[in-house]
Parts: sequence; structure tokens; C-alpha cells
Amino acid sequence: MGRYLLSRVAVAIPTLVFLTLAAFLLNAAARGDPAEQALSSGGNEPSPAEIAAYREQLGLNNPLPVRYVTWVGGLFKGDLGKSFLDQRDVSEILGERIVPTLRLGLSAFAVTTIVGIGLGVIFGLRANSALDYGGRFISLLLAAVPSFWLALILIVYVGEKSDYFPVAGYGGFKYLILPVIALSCGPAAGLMRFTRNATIEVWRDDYVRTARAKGIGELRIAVRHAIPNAILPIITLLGLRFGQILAGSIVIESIFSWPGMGSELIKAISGRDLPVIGAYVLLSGVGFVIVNLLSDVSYALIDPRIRLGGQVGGAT
Amino acid sequence: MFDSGRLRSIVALFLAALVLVTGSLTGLAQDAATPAYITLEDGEQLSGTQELRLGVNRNLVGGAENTWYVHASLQVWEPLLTYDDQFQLQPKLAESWILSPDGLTWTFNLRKDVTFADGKPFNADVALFNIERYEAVSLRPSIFLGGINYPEIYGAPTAITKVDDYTFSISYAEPRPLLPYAIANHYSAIQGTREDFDENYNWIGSPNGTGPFKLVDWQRDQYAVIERNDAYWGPVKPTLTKIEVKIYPDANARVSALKGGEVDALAELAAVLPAQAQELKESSDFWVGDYVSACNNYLGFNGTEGPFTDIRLRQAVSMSIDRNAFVNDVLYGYGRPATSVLIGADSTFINTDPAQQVVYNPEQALSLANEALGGERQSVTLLFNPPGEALHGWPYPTIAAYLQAILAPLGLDIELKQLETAAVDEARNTGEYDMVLGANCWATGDPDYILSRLLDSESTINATQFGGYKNPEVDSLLDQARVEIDPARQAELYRQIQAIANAEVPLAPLFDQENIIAGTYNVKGLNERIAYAPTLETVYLVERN
Amino acid sequence: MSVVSGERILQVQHPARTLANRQEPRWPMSRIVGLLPIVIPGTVLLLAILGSAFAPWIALYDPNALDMQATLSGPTADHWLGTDQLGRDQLSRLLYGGRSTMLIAGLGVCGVIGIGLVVGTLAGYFGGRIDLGLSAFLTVLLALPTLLLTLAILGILGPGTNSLMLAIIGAGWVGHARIFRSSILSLRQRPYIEAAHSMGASSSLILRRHLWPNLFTTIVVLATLDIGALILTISSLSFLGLGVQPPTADWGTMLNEARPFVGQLPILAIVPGICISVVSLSSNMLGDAIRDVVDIGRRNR
Repeated sequence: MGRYLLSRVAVAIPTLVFLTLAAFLLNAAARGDPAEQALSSGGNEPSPAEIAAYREQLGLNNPLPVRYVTWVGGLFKGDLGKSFLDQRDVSEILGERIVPTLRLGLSAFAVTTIVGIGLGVIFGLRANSALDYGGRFISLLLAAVPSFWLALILIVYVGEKSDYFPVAGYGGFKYLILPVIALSCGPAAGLMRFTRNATIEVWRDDYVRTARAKGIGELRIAVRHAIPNAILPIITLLGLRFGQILAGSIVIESIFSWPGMGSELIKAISGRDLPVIGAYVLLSGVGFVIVNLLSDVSYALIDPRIRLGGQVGGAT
Repeated sequence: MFDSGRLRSIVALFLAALVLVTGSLTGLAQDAATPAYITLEDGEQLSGTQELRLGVNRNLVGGAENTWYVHASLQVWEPLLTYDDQFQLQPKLAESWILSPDGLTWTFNLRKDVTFADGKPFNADVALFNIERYEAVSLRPSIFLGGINYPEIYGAPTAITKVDDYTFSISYAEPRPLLPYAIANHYSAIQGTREDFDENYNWIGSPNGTGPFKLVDWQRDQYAVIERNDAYWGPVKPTLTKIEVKIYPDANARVSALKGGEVDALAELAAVLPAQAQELKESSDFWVGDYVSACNNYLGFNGTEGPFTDIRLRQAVSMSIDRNAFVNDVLYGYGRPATSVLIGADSTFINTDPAQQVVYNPEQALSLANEALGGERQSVTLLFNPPGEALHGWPYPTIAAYLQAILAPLGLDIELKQLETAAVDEARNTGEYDMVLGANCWATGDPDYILSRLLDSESTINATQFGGYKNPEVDSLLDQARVEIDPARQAELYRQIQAIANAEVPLAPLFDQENIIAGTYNVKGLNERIAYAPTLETVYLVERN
Repeated sequence: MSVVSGERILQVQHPARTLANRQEPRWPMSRIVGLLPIVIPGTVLLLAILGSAFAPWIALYDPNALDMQATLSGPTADHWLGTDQLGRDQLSRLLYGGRSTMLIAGLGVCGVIGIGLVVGTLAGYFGGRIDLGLSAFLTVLLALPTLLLTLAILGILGPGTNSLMLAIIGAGWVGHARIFRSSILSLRQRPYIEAAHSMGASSSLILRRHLWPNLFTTIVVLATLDIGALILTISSLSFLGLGVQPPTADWGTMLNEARPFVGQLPILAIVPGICISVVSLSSNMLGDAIRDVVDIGRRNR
């Protein structure tokens, strides 16, 4: 197990290096002069001399490798640079924004997991029944409905009409409901479909058939045999779902005026706030790598073959 | 000739009357604690709790390292002087300001009865400290107005002198008659005393102001909470005890929040878009108000390269636009047709002679375009920002599509290009455009601020953004006007400049934005000043039976 | 949101697992019923493609022609789906919008599959250092959510139709390359390929004759599924103002422009949303159905 995990971590390291490089180059390659952007926000029109001085101050005139090394060096001190737009530390900006995003993302992740796996197992156990066909269609439908459209419909027909649901903005539990629904429908539908198929497969495996032949109750088989076996591929998938939710939150946060990292990213792209864009790519990439590592670890904990140092499945 | 007895009795009578009047007045004030701005209709009564929930577009608190901790809209601080909705200067913390006969020295006389929310007095030392701070934080980026460019606003004073505790003066080597206009509002904000700041001129604690409200809590991108400053020195005391300002950057989310009952009103910059106003107005639950803003939206040209170097084509475009129809059709009437390159709300410097304003003349436009293009069709690009951005909150895609349709008969095939702000700036700097939609917003009421930046041949738009407008006469008129100390003569110079610009069309002004606000019928007394500041000090909440 | 998300990769990778578990048809009629999952979404998709392809001939109005006298009208005899805030005919815009959305999606799919196939073949067939290098690169790229990569590329290029296309291709091929790589890797080890090798067949011949034709069904399934996923990505980016730019009609931009009027005239927002959902749904269903049929075919062989 130790070696397996070590190999997983070894894969993660080049990913992290690539992320820093990509995030840095993203900054360097982007169009628009960040110095001029910062000085001219709000309708000011800075002179070329002011822009040049500000470029110097921001270190934009140094050669690229020097800027990269400075940048990475700063990362270890928690320094993600300063926002070009309002001169605040990027770590401070994203620090304020990360909590709302995690609240939204983790809530949606929890809903996705519970609803997706729960319904998937139910439909899988009742495969090819009317319930299953209905479930399949609904899951296909939900996977096809654009989340931003769902969000619009929820705002107009639920939020504005009911006194209970807040329409938009940041706040307690009530404020989470509509964005979480809009955000988790797509991922939950996918997870549900996958869980259903995994359950069906396991249900048809020889040992389950044997157990059924022995007359062991269906519920007991499901809980003792089928679900633990089906859970393995599902865990890998959960990692991917997390990425999907993180990406989806960019759109959903903007629509619901949710003050998270996603809406900050959209703002940063339109203002060419390069350090913020780079830091976002880096942070979410690192988050994604960590989630994948975690799913690998839990995979290893559940599957004894991996614990003994074997390879995962036949994949690649 | 009065004898002394009669005089005495008259004085006695007068004194008695005086006592009576003051007595009745104070009595009145005591039993009806309602300020003059409150008018209750039948069946209405003041709510027991006067706490407003206000939805806005953007952060109105910048923080301790910002040039302004709080935006003017929250009325935590007050400036030395401000302007009314016609851009006429108005006293605030300065009672009067006088230019010396040689035009070189401005003297400001300050109010004597002003105290900060924490009880400290306001005086000339405090005012001079704030000006010193603006010099120190010059060009520091800020989320409001992009910070202060001290040399542009205050120039290069030769001396800033405290005359007495409530008087100070600023002297220059050459006349600077427009200084009061330039510093009105944000640039003469009095935001605290020396003790409130650290050595970098950042706030040590919470902001300290002389305004009717004080900041009690805020979270960036989420909310700000202000409460009434019970020690406010001013004549008009607010009724609201607390205002929760909630931030919804998305225009549709904002209106949804009003409809869904999370806020009582929407106000401040670009609170409601014209398209949304229509729908709110039709519902019986909300009132909608519109107020002219200090933003003039224009169609800019690349006058350095391409077809619009030809003055006739620029004139043809400007003459093809029926600005009245434009405002009605595209903005649902929420705008003022532009008449000149200056902000339309101005009443001091604007050119009001119809012969010297922008004109609508489709026939002449056609013949000018024919002359310029020789009957050929010409492909041109039009750049614009996405809708919903703060200063560009107006429906640019819709405006662009409209212009594309109405300019086609001239022989122009317009390719529309929507780009984000940074990319628009980049395209302007590299000249990769023919036309561009833009907005000029006035922060101060200083005509030189707008006209120099649009028309001076060395200005950014002309020199580096391919505006390419060069007219030596305009340059020289701008130089003259800037130092002209006779107000009437100065205004006349600015009108001449506008007349030339309106005829030569370095850019085609389209309309002045109207700022739209909305609220429930429980919210009364909410209006908006020209610089988007909601009149929070006169708002009161009512209940109906 | 991602082009082809994880569970599909896994499903396509292990066709053998699903085929073994498929139930035997119980009724003879099931042949016909069994075809319905292909016929219905296939017809819907075909209609959408035809409608978009022939939009200039079907549409009654110029999609960008303004009519300020008839703004924001509901459905009428002249305008079956009403008009928008500029009096533009919604039905015509919907047809042209489909054209723009589907064209980008179609070209996107070609790009994504093409690049994926080339890279996958390079890595899977030639193996060795090329494989090592490419696989490492793929692993790294796959560590990022596709939409994030798309946004990052879009951030560099700036919004617009061309950038949008480049961005979805640039971010989308990675997953496909991995699938093609492992398919080719397993195909290459089949005895008849080994035999062809030993008989001295050139690499290009083996690729053209034996390997790529074997990937055909995988490509069809992936492409069909991609259409649905890409349409969602394209419309959400256009909705955010980062994709197709106004006044070009596009389902995402139409939805965005309709937002202020949702309460007043819901049809403006509802119809483009339904179009996106239905086309995306059809392509997902069709992709699934084709895969099932292919699996059955393989099993019966």
C-alpha cells in the first residue's frame, strides 16, 4: 500500500509543477497590459510614463524565467502576488472567496453523492422496471439541461414566487438551496446512471447469484455484497464529479451573485487580473489533485488487491 | 420720530412675538418629531423599525488601504464642496470659496460647527491633513474612480496655507480657476483626522467621518451595514436607524432579489437596467424612479487609420442617428438624447445653441456618406463591452445591433465585436477597431476633465488610442479656457470648443445614461443624486393599514 | 460540463463488461422496440441538424433584422415564437442560433476526435519514450477539469467564436487521446496484428487497415456523446458572454439576452433552453443506444 500511494504521489508532483508553470505562463501570455488595466480602472487615463513606472514596480519587465522563479518562490511563502485591479494580496482575495465556494461546492458534492448513489442503487436493483426506465430518462434529461438555464428557471419560478427561498446572494442554509440544486442536478444524474450500471453488473456477478440461490435476502445481499463491490469504480468517479462541480460553480456563482472564487474568476478574466486567474487555476488544480489522491487512497483502503501492491484494474 | 416709550413698547411686543414664535416652533418640533421630508399619505404610518435593506451593484466599501474607505454613496464622510444635479457647486464642509483677483490663490472658508462621528472637531488642520494624504496616495489604485491623480486634480500648488482655524488657501504659479469643480465630492472628501491613519495613510481602525451615517460592519462582495450617526451636525437628520447594503453584481439577480423580497429597494450605480425597469413598472408591487446620471455614452472612431479618418463619414454617422428615437426604442425612454460632447446634465458650460449641437439629418448624412465612400460599401468594426459592467451597465449589445441596422443605409457593413473591458482597451491601443462604444463619466463637474481628454490632440484617446483628432484651434482654446479667470468668458470658451467638436465629430455622443432605481411601496423618500448617491438621509419606511 | 466525463471513459473502455450483462430480449417485438432508442433521438437530432443547415431557406426573417414597432411580442401569426427586445423574429433566430451552436459543436467534435486520435495513436502504437512522455502530459492535463482548461485558454485568446472553438478543442482532446491510446494498446497485442507485423506490413498499413477501422464504433459513440456535452459547454460560455458574440444568434447568447425579460415574456428564455436540452439529450441517448447496439453486435459475433 505504501508503494502504491507513493507512486500516486509521484504522479501528482509533475502535475503540480505543470500547474505552477501553466498558471504562470497563463499570466505571462495573456493579452492586455495589466499595468494599464490597474491604473485605468474606473475611467482614469494614465500617461505612458505612469504605465511604464507601474510595470517596473510590478516586475513585468524582467525576463520570464526570473519572473517564474520569483513567482514560485512567493508561492512557498503563501504569496500569490497582488491583484492588478485593486492592489490587494491575491491570497487575501481568494481567502475571502474560498469559503463561499467550498460551502457551495461541498454541499453540492454531498447532495450529488447522496442522491446519485442512493437513486442509482435503487434503480440498479430494480433494473428494467418502469421505475428504472423513468429514472434513466430523468437522469438523461437532467444531464442534458444546462445548469445556468435551470438556475434561471429556479430563480424566476421558485425564488421570486416563494417567501422561503432567497433568490440570490450569500447567507445561511436557505441561500444554499437553489444554487445547490442547480449545481448538483447534472453531476448527480451522471453519478446515478453510473451507479445503476455498476450495481447491475455486481448484481449479476457469480457470487451474488450464488448468494441468491442460497436464499439470502435481497436487502442483505445488497448491503453486504453488491454495494461494497459497486462502490469501487464509483469512488473514482466521485473525484471527477468534484471537478465537474467546481467547474460548474463558475457559472452558478455568477448567476446567483454568490461571492465565491468562480464569480471572482469571471471578474478577473474580464479585468485581465492575471495573478488572480493564475492563482485560481493553481488552487483549483491543486484541489482537484488532492481529491483524486484521496479517492486513490480510499480505493486502496477498500480493495485488498491494491493494498497488497497490485495494479488498479486493467486501466491503461 | 418715535418717542422712547413707543419704541420700548414696540421692542417689547417684538420680543413677546419672538418668544411666542420660538415657543410654538419648539413645541411643534417636540410633539411632531417628523422631519420636513416626511409626508404621510392617508392610511400610512411610519414603521416602528426604520431599517432598510438595500440591494446594490458593487462593493461600496474599499477597506483601510483604499483611497476612500467608503464610497460617497454611503454618506459616511462629507466633502468640502459638492454639486447639485445641474453640476452647480454647493457648499458642504466649506461654506464658501473665493478666488483672488490675480487668479492665483483659492481661499476656502470652513464650517465651524462640524464634528466627526467620534466627537473630534473639524477644522483647517484636518482639511489640510486630508489634502496632504491625497498627495501621498496619488495614483494608488482604488476600486473607486481608479484612485486619485493628485497632479491632475490639485495641480502643482506653490503653497497650501492655513490662514486661521477655519480658513485655508491654495496658491498656484498660474491661474487654476476650475479647482473647486475638480475637487468637488470625492477629491475633497474629509475622511478623518491625523490620528485615524497610520504612517502609510491607511486607516488604523474603522473609518471616521462627519456624515449622517457610520460604517458598523462589512464583508467584501457580500454586504455593508451602516447606522445612523446620532451626533450628526447637519440640518437634516436621517430617519433610518440602520441600512443593510447587500451586493448583487448580477443585474438579473438584483431585480430577482427585490421581487423575492430580500431587499426593500435597489439603488446606486446601474441598479436597474432599462429593460428591467419596464417590467417592474408594470407590476403593482414596485415603484421605479429614474435620475439623470453623469455618464455620457458615445460612439468613438478610429480617426488615425481606416475610413473614419474622413471627417465626412464621421459626420454622416452622427447625422444618421435620431437620438430621440434611439432613446425611446433602445432604452425604453430611460436616457437623455445627447446634444453635445459635454455631459448633458451640466448647466454652466454646456452649449445650448441648437445650431451648435449635434444634429440629426438623414438626407445630408446620405450625401456625405456617398461623397466619402463613392457609392461603395465599406466594412467596419464596432467594439463594445458586454452588458452589465459597472460603468458600462447599459445594454451595449442591443445598442450595437441597433446602430448596425440604422447605419447600413450609409453603405457601412458593421461587424460587431463584443470584447471584455481589457480587450477593448487593448484593441483601442493597437488601433484594431473602426468604431467603439464608450462612456465618459464625470466625477467632478470640471469641463476640462472631459473636453481635454476627448479633444486635446495630446490626450490619451487621440494620441495613443487612435482617436487621431487634431485641431490646433481646439488645443489653443482648451489652453485658454483652463486659465481663464472670468467665469462668463471661460464658459463661452468651452461652448466654442463644443461647437467645433459637435461639427467635426471626433466622436458621436449618443445619450446620457439615466440611473434607474426601484423599491417597494414601503420605502419612501428614496431618490438618487447625479453621481449615483442614493438620498439615504431622507428615506423612511411606512406601513399601510 | 466536461467534454466526455469519467463514467463514459470507463464505460467505453470496458465494452466487454456491459455486454455480458445485457439481458436477453424476451419478446420478438423487442427488435422493433429495441430500435426506438436509436430512431427517436436520431430523428430529433437529424431534424435539428437539417433545421440548422437549411436555416437560410426555412427562416422567414433575417435573424438580425430589427423591427422596433414589434418588440417583445408574444407568439403571433407573423412571429410564431414572438419577437425579442429588438423586434427580431425568435423562430428565425432559433434556427440560425442552432446553426451557429451546432456548427461550432460539429467542428469542435472533429477537432477533439482528430487530435485525440493522432495523439492516442502516437502514444499507443509507437509506445516507448513517446508514450511515456505523452502519457505523463495527458495525466497532468487530465488533472484539471475540462471547463477550467477551456476558460484558461479562452482567457488568453479573449472571447469570440474562433477562440471558443480553439478553447473547447484545446481542452477536450485530452480525454479522448487517453481512450484511443488504451484501445490501440490493447488492439496492438491481438494475434492478427502481431502476425501482420511479422509479415512485414508497414506501420501505416496496419494503422489504416486494422487499427483505425477497429476504432470506428468507439469514434461514433464518442462523437455522438460529445455533441451533447459540447453544446452545453458552448451555450454556457456564450451565456457568460465569453463565446459567440452578439448579434450573432446562438442559443446561449439568446438566453443571456432574454434574461431581463424572463418575467415579462418567459418564452424568450424557455425555448432556447429547451432546444439546448433536447439536442443535448438526444445526442446522449443516441450515443448510449449506439453503444448498446454495438455491444450486442459484438456479443452475437
